[in-house]
Amino acid sequence: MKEHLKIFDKVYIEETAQNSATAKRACKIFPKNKIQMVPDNFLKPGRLSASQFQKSKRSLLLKEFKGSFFKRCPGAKPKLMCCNYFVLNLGQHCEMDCSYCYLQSFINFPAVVIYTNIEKAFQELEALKKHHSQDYIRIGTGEQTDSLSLDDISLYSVQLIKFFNTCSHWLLEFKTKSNNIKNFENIKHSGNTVVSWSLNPEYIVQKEEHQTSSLKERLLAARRVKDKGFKVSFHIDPLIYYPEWKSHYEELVQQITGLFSPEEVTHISLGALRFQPEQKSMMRKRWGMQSLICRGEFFRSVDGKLRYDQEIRQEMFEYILSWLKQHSRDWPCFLCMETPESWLNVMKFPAKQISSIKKDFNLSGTNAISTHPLYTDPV
Amino acid sequence: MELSKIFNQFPLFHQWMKDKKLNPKDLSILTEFENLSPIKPLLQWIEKRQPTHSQGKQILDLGGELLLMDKAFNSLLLKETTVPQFIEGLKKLRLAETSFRDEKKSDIVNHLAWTDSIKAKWIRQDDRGALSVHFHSFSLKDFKQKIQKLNSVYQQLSEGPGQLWKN
Repeated sequence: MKEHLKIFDKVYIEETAQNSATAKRACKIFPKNKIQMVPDNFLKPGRLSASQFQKSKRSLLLKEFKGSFFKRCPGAKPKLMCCNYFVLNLGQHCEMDCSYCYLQSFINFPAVVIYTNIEKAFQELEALKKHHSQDYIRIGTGEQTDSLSLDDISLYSVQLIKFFNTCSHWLLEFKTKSNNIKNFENIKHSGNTVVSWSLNPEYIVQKEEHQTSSLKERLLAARRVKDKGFKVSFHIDPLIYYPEWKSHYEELVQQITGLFSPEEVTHISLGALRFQPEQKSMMRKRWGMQSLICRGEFFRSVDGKLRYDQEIRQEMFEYILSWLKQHSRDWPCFLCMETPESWLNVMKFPAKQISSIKKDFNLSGTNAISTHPLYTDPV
Repeated sequence: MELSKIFNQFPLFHQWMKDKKLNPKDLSILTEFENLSPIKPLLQWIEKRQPTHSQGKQILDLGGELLLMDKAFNSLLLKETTVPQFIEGLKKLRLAETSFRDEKKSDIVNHLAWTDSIKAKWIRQDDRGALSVHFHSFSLKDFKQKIQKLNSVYQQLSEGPGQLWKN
């Protein structure tokens, strides 16, 4: 069993999920004494204390999902610039443990979940394909869980890549902090899969991104995947402000530009740390005031989330963009979940006028999908 | 630490919390302390000074986090400190970097060529600092004069870009 899967003390498999390929694979991967077959809804949702949340990361549940897999990204909100991203939630919760993780603000379930009925997700995508196969749609799987860290159990990357081979206009995006790329080694793909890595300086990885792959491991995995012909993108997100941020982020930019050229990278998104006010207490209880996140100075922003002062955010964006531009002016950068004001101040042009990304911010495709019965508005 | 333990030890604080209609969620930071001793002076200060609902929430959040960071603020707990002064002092300590930046902007604003009838100050509006300008006009002529004065301040700021805003 791979090292990162050893974190699970218990693997629960619900009755209706027992015959799924994912469950059968889990039974082969995990020792028998860790597996427990349970009736459906055996684990109950409910408010989790800090210690219960901690414990929830050590249990894995395989179950069928009854709702809609396909949703619009929560970044699509009034007052924020959105990049027209759609999400497929093939699981919920994450065994990795980033101190700033937004899952801490809403997970109310005592286990990491893999939904075993991916065929239902494919039915949804097939229905969408009937009317929108020629539209440009970006769909990601890393919204409520890491796209790849549990891929040994689910093999969903393989199935999704195969499905996306049949819709060349669509773009599939995996988002990860792992280096679990074994399934990308020998698979045929149509060039419409992006594997994206969330990146932060190694200091932040060590201090705040617990149980994740190191920065070097992530970058080397990205290089390997790129060499296999996949598209690669990076999210320098969340930017964290602390005394050494300038030198650390400059070094991060050097590490990226040392391994990749601009034309090899589909996007680099920058996003400053943001979180729901209710999350603060949970973070303090779990990580204490030694965490750079808990020590930060935050203010309520237009969407109700807590963010650094706008001037600080702007300064960070400007510095990082300038280091990238020193290397080459061709790096395709954009800001994630920021106000139009930040966009204009930092990027100088509205998103729709920046050639490298305007396809993503063109609303026509989104409007077409929003009328589709499968479309679900962000909560 | 359970809230009930705090309420037992500090009945006046408990009464204040009920009077000001704070809910247990507003006090959640207090449950993050293992024992009463670090928060005792803060609770006693609240008992004595009876801040309002919103003041109390700010004091508990800012003061609680400072105590969790082992940053003392004994000098603020003096008798003569008013509640707004106390909150301001806590902000300066807990939000030190942003307060420092805001103070520098305030200095710049204070040294611009305003007239007595135009009040201007640097204020914080959530995650943004902003220039707030306030004046009354009593006639069209008066209005024109004040706009001209504002224009001269604008020129002053334009000559030294980056003083208040980068863009």
